[in-house]
Amino acid sequence: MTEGAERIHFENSNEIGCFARLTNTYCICASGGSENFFSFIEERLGHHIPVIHGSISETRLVGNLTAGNKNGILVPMETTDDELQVLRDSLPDSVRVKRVEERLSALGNTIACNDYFALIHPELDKETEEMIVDVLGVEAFRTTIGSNALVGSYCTFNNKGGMVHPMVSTGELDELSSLLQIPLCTGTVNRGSDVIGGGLVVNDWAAFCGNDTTTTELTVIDAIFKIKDSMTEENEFSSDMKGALIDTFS
Amino acid sequence: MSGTISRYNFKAIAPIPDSSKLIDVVLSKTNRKTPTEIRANFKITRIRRFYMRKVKYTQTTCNEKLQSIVDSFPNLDDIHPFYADLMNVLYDRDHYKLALGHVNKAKAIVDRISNDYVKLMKYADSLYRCKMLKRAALGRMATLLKKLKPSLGYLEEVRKHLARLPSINTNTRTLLITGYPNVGKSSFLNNLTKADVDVQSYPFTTQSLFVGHTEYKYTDWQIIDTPGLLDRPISERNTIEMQAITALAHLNACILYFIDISEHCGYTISDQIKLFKNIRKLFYTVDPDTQETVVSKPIVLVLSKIDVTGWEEVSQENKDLITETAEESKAFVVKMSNTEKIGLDEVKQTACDILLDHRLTQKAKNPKKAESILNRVYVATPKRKDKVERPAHVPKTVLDQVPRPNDKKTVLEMQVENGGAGVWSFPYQEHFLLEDDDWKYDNAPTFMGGHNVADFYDPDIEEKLNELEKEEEYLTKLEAAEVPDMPSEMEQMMVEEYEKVKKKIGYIKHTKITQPADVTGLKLREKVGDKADEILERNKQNRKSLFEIMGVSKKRRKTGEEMEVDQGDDMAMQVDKNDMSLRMKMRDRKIKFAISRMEGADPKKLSTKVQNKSMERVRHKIEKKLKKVENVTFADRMQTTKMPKHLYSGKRGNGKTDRR
Ligand SMILES: Nc1nc2c(ncn2[C@@H]2O[C@H](COP(=O)(O)OP(=O)(O)OP(=O)(O)O)[C@@H](O)[C@H]2O)c(=O)[nH]1
Ligand SMILES: [Mg+2]
Repeated sequence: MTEGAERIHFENSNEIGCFARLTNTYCICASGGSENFFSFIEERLGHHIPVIHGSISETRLVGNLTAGNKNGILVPMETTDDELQVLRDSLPDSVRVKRVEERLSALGNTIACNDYFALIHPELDKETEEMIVDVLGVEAFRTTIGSNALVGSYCTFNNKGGMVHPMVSTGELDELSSLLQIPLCTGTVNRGSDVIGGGLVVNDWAAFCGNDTTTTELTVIDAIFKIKDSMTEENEFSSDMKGALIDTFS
Repeated sequence: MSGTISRYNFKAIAPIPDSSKLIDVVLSKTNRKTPTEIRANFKITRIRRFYMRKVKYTQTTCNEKLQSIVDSFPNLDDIHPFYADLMNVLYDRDHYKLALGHVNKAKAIVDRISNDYVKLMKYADSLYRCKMLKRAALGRMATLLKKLKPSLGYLEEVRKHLARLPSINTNTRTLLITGYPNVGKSSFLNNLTKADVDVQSYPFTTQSLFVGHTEYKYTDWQIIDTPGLLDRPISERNTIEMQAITALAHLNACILYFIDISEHCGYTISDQIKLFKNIRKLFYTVDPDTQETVVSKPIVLVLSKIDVTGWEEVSQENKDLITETAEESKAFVVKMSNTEKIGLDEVKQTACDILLDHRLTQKAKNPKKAESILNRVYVATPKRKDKVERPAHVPKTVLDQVPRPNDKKTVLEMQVENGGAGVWSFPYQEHFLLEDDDWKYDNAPTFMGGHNVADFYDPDIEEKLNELEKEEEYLTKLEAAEVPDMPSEMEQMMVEEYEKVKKKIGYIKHTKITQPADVTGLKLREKVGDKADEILERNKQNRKSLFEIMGVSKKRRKTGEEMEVDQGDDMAMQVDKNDMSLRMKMRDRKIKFAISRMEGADPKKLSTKVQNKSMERVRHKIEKKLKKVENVTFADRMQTTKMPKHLYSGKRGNGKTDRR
């Protein structure tokens, strides 16, 4: 597959999760002044899935404001008609695009999902939840991540594994893991930032994280999301890596 | 992460002003921040207060400035011994402490001066005396600051040098390169990292510590290049060598001792071994269990420049010497060459592995800590809750590792070609996945006739349109076939029916009105007395006719719905003629009053135009007043001018009669 997670920045910001929405069937990037960010991702994914420019209510925060997986994408009510039309025209027909009327309109921060499950903010509307189930084709669970309600910001997962923010206890981690049916671990990005959704975008075969991400953090990301070829099902943390990790943490 | 916390930030120290600049800063601040106007005829207490304030203010600013200088420098007793010793080597501990002490002492002296002069000022009896005392006080403070000149100069130099020190993390995994000068230390660092250290063919090229970073086993490793060492007692070593010694002594690192087996560096192998044995003492510690001296740091003997002289070509004597020494200090021996790039990775791997092993065994000695760390690398694995397979979704092109087409330009390249960022941006239409690529740049209407087209968007719009068109077609066909205008039989019937119903309604209303009149008649009799009979008589007659009517009405009610309207028609008509006209009038008037009460006078009824206009004006005024009262909020709070300028200012500006 790929060589593992890669570091990247969006116009000097490490919070790349705000500016991109990456799924298994498409990737939407914010269009900045310079095309560095877009070009970097397009070069790696462009020949596999559509990588497109997009904006939501005339901001570049496509990551913060949208939630999506391979089946569809939800955008907030503030999205303009033109933007919606561009998304509809650019995404494959199999991807449903839907505007959602929701008070907590930063859908990317309030929804975390892969192709089968979604963790959602406990205070989302009932209608929004139905929409998530319907459009994204997932099972949705209202939950918090270590007492943080912004599930989309504090955890990220693909169909193979996931990472949650470091203050989550092992018990809670086990619970979440059984809920999502994937292995989970705690971790950080961007040199100790616990806003994982902000610093990291992943799908089932590629991952990008902020420029400040340390080697250790990259290693954990590669291992848990199984981005690298060499990392097969069983050896999440090889003994090699464990040694290095333990040394860093102590 | 623990590593980042322990990194000292020597680069953040603010520049130290020299003494004359410091004096300027302090005095001008006093001038700016304290009152400046005083007159001899003021009360003496006021004059004293004025000057005391100046002295005290100068004292505090002086103090602040000096304190911030003292605080910005690291205290040698608080920082990591490596840095403490390094600073001792580079800047001389005593000198450093004296300089800081000097600045610190100046603070206390400034305090004393200020106290003395404030006290003296209490006895001053004139403006002149006060002023002189103030001058003396500030003068003495300035002299004091002037005397700080050498110390401040020295501290500034130290600051500049500190800022240029490599940021060495004392906690992290470190490889430390050492050896005789010119043996290939810097070349090795350059090969492994991006450090780009100067490499020359003469000794003492490297004169200070250099840091590079490399990656191995998923983490980063710090490699430090040191100046070359000569074999001589520590007291004779110079500053450059002492930096290397400090690093060797204090950093918990893996030591890479470089031995040039080609002896091209100008020192024999036996010399180099001798130096090694000499510095090896720095790593000796006493084992607490066995009371034996052991080497406490992992060591690798790196035999460099094997491209010039192979290991086989080394004399047996030297070979034995090297292996023996390695065994003594439990060191590994690795051969490598910088120019041919042989064995570089092997050196790195051996060094990193033994260091990691060493560090882990050290840490594992504390089991509690080890457990808490293991918790952090915990991975929760799910229990299967159902039998549903949830496979990953990876496109086939990814699995097949289909490469990106070579001729495909990246968007960045396109941007650069077309004028760069800000000039050109990728047309989003290029992303469109449409049935026909020619449609991409078609203009789709967004607004039409003041309507947003998107609001009317409907996925089934085409179907619905077709349906509508069909219906219309059908209708037009029908219309053409039919003959218009002639009222049908049905319509005629309906009109007749309507007339009948209308009549009936009038009739029912009438009966309702006449009933209460009877009751009022009874009441009247009680009041009026004598005349009552007369009235009663009349009422009776009224009632009679009334009963007649009611009789009919009863009759009608009985017959109910199937009743023919023609029956008693004439009676109803009679009632209409007598009373209905009156009732209608009454009703009209009532309605008129009701309307006038609701909406004000009917403008049509106002006699003249003038009247009409004045009414309009009054209405407007009232409305305005009401609006004002209604809409006032906190934000509308208005402060009218209390002292209009034109009433209070005496002078006018040059050539201006208008105050604006
Ligand atoms: N043939 C050969 N020459 C080497 C090798 N490594 C270094 N040199 C040469 O040795 C000379 C000294 O190399 P440096 O890397 O500057 O040595 P150093 O130990 O850093 O020297 P100082 O900084 O003075 O202590 C240079 O001319 C290099 O080209 C090697 O593996 N083979
Ligand atoms: Mg050198």
